[in-house]
Amino acid sequence: MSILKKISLFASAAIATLYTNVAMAQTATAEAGADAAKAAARTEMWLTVAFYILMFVAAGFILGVVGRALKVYELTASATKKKGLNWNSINASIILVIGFLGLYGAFWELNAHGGWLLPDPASKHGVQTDNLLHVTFYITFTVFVLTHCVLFTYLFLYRGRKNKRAYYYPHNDNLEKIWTMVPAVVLSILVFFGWKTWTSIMYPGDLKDAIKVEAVAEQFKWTVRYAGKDNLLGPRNYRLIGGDNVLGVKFDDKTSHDDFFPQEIVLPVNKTVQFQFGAKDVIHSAYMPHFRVQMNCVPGMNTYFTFTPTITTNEMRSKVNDAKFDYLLYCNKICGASHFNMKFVIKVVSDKEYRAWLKDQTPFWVKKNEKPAPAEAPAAPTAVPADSTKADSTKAADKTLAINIK
Amino acid sequence: MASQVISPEAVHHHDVHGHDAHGHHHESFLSKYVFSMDHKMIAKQFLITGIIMGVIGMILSILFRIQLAWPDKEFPLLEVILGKWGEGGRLNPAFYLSLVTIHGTIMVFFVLTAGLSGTFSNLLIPYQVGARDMASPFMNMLSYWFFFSASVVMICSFFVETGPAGPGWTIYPPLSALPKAMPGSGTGMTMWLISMAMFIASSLLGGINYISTILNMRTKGMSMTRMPLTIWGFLLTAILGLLSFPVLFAAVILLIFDRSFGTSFYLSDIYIGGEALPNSGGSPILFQHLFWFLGHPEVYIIIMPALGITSEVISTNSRKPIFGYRAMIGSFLGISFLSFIVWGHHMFVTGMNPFLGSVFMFTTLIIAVPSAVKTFNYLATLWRGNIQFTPAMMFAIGLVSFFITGGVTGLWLGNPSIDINLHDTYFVVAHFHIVMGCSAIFGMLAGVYHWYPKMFGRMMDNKLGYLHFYLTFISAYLVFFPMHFMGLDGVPRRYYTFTEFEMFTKWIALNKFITLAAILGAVAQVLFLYNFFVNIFKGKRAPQNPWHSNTLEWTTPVEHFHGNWPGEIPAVYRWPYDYSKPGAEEDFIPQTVPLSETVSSNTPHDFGFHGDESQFVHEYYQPKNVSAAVEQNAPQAN
Repeated sequence: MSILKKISLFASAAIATLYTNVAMAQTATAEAGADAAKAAARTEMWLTVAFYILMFVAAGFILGVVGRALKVYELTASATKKKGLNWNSINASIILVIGFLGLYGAFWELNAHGGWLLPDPASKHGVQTDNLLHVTFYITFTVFVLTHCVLFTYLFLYRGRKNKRAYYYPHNDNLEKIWTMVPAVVLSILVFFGWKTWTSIMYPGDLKDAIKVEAVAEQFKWTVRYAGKDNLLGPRNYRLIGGDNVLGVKFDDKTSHDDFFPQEIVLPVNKTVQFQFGAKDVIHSAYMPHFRVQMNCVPGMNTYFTFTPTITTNEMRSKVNDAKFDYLLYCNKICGASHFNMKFVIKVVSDKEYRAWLKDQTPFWVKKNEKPAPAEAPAAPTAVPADSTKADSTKAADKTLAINIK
Repeated sequence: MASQVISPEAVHHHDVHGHDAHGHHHESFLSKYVFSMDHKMIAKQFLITGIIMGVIGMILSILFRIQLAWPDKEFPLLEVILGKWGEGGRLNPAFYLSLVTIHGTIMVFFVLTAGLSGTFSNLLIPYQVGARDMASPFMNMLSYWFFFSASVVMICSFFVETGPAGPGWTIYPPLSALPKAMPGSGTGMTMWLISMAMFIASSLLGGINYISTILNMRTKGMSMTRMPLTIWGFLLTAILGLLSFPVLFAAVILLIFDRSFGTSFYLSDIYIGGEALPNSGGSPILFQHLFWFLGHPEVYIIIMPALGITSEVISTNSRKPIFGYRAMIGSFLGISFLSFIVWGHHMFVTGMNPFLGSVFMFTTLIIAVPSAVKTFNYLATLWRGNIQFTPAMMFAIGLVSFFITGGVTGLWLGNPSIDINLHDTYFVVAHFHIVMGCSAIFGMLAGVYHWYPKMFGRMMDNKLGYLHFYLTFISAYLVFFPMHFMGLDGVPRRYYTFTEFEMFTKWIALNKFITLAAILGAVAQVLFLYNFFVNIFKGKRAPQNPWHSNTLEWTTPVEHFHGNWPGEIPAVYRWPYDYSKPGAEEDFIPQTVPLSETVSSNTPHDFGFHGDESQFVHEYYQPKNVSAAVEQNAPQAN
């Protein structure tokens, strides 16, 4: 108990010091009203701190009393040769109760929070991914529940008793073989299906018709570029970044002339899209969880992910019963102080809406050349006539779409 | 048997024996407690430093948990404690990342590598293999002091202007290479790198010592297959460390070059702060390969000593031999080997060739087999045991539970197609905190409770230990289990706040709950700290063998002195798991008891005979015709 006394002494000393601090703070800041308010806030803060310290000390005190009572009980029990507390039984029972309550809690949470998870996958491969995830879940959750039931039950059944002896059972080769082989077989199945799914996602086959979109990350925003009517992204060089050329696109290359930079990603439903990712400064990660898509954005190299959205934003809105729902692209690799705030909206729309949207997009090169001298734009008609006028570019967009529809 | 156990009184005749150079020591305070070369003292130094670092790491986690639970609330106290990093009572976003980084670094390296492996390897290797000290006590001392300096440098980084390192404990460049990218990549990062370089030196000095002691200094009769599983765990851990830490060292050195000397190992095509950097040709992914080549063995460096300790504690307190001793060694070997070829599963979505993803998926899922074997063997050891619920045993049981819970989610993350969506989410946070954090810390606490009498010659309070276990066990699950669900909803880790996303607002209440559970868990550790530090001075005196254990360390006197055993080092005649052997007088037979003294309990196996038992004849073997009729659970007739 002496230690408890010391603790409470120490705590009261600490509180006393705190109060003097508060008092000093008050005298120092009495001049200005705002400062007085601040001081009042400080007083309140220290009072809160003192309250929690007191609570802590009180808890320690109660614990000490309980401990002392237990000790007295056990001493008298041993003095009167009665059976004292049997801690083996007590602990075995507590673990049994906590264990099964815990398992119940796991089921409870599956129910309670299981419904809060991501909605159904909005991409073709996402369905496969989720199937694999469900299979893995059922296997692992069964293992989790069974082994824990065994663990807690064994602990209770075989709790230590006086005059009892454990069963000397150092090994059993057959058992060992069984529980090496069974996990090996189950894991082989998971490996096989995992491998099938992984390769089908990562090797999507012919990508000629896939819509090419580039997303480039930087601290702390995304820049998105569509390949335009030729469906080819113009090359970039980071040394060209500057002014309005935010990605350092090489505009002397004709493939870049029809590239446009939208403010949100719009994708037609059921069309394959190939994302190309890049980063300007540090590593980011392009995460689009609703499509089960993630790929890191690495400075100095391009990364890719190809997928096919299958549910439009509107369909998903009614599905999740949330009129404000939007697919999001956000950063999932630590990239600096504002890492937590790097999102970009993705809209999945019908084919018709997509075409209409495409019509509204003007390639950067066209815009740039329109502004200072619109008359100069057709100056290079022989090179890329389609680029120069809006009408042509929409026609071209239609052409791209025609390719994509095939 | 009695002849093998040295009574504490024998200590006083120690000098009379004069067995070797360990005879006369006039130890000063400095040479005994500070620059000690004695493995027991070094173990205590590692442990206490580890505990202090653990407390610091835990406080850091509470700070950022408060931010996650109440992102919109002001806590004026934060400003008082943290100054400019808590301006207006709100945690600074850059400092939040620093907290996360240093929490991870401290917990992974300083607590669970040095604190766990350093403590128990140092304490138990000489004791359990029967050696007077480590192969090189001086290197051992250096190992501790490198570790201590590394800790000091790491903590000091809190006091530099730009704050401690902030790019996450994995310090991926270019974020960690460019001071412009975040405040945490400034001086704090340099100190992190210096600290880690010293830490690696410490680890290597320790590791070389552990390996050479185990391989060369085992006492007579201590063959490799008579070593306790703790020693197997430490041996393989040290080998893993020796092979993988130098790779991290290389990675760190190259990063230092990139940061300070203008090289481009990890940098290429970077435009930051309004200018294009001249670096070209490097690859940030190279760093990740180097880092995870250490990083993955590292998680086994953390968990294997804990598994070794658990094997020992579960066997002793079930009063049963560990089930499948050889299978346990085999699974250790399997895990050790495989741990070197799974690192790529941290990099499935880095843009690494998908073919490599397939390979790493295969190796990663296969490593679950030896891990599963271990779990089943633990359960089989408990089966029909006579389980003594000491605090050590309860923490060992906690390890088994966490190892299962965290292990099975490894099968989710090891599968690259599932990992696409779970990578870097709270699911990962839940997974590794349970399987590596909680498991390992429970293993460490099991070790502390179990060997405390050996370390300090005093007993800890059991009831406080029970309470400590229950509160820690429950709060750990309450903290980490719900995180799986956040991860499955696509909530990313290392986010300062979730208020910017409509889709995450539903998790705010859960975040508060997790923080409260974390605070409960942190407060519970006060019980441990009280129990640990007060009982060093006030605890009940420990008997020589409080847990009736078989291993060699319990044959040494309670009081410590250089050389461990007065007189001869005892020889070893049997494996360390002869618990509850039928026909034996007591339910344990220490390794030092020769077979000639246990004729009634010997089996043909003890003589290396594996054929038909009825054919076996030996002068110390008594055929047991009635063995089938012996009721194992019957009271010992004596």
